[in-house]
Amino acid sequence: MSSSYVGRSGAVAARAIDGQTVILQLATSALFTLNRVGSRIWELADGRTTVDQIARRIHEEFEVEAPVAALDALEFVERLAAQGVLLLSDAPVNPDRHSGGEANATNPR
Amino acid sequence: MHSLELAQEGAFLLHSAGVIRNGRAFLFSGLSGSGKTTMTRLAPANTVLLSDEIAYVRPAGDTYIAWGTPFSGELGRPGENVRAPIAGLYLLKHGAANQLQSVPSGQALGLLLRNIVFFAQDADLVRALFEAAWRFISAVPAYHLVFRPDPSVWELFP
Repeated sequence: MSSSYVGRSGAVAARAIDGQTVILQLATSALFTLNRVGSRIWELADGRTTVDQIARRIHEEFEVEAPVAALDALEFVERLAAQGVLLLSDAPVNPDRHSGGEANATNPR
Repeated sequence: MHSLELAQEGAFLLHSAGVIRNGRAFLFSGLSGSGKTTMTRLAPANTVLLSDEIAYVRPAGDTYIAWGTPFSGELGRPGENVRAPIAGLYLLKHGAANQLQSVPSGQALGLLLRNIVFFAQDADLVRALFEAAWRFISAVPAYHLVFRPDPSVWELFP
């Protein structure tokens, strides 16, 4: 369970293309390519939506079992948050406004 | 090497061998050892060398133009000062037979970004190059070119 809010870092450039999302971290030039489910999570990470809410949407939209969606969504956002690509916060965050991520990120567990 | 202004116009330098044949530019991209120089060595007589190492790419309306550059790789011969509309971007892979395989756009964008020449520390410039790469991939077809290193590969590029 995670009630943390998920937002996108402003320190990346991202584009959706043919069902995938390609993200370039500006400081490191690291590249991330997200599949359809990852791309949907990226879309939903508006800073006002929690990990739990995202997991529920993934469960509904992709016919993934609810417990699996919950675990996968949490693992996904934590992994990208550790890279500074997504932001996790106890309070809502303004999407795409943060230049970094680490200072604003908190561990949801 | 890059200015923000040029990147914002969508122009960039690409690690690629480039050749003009019948008025169209073919760009062969990949890391060292992927076969860029080999493709230029195997090119037929009716081709013009853009470079065996780095091509200059910029948009022109709905299409993209490749320009020759003075950079040379193992070929040891600089490219000529010529340009042509780009027919396609071909990402090189060695193989037993010659074959073109289309590349999903998301994957092509990632591969293109790995082959764009830049040393930028500036976030605005990196962002502009990312956008330039995205626009390029949206406009120019990208393929994996699996090829056997003999002249028959050029039959794929009439």
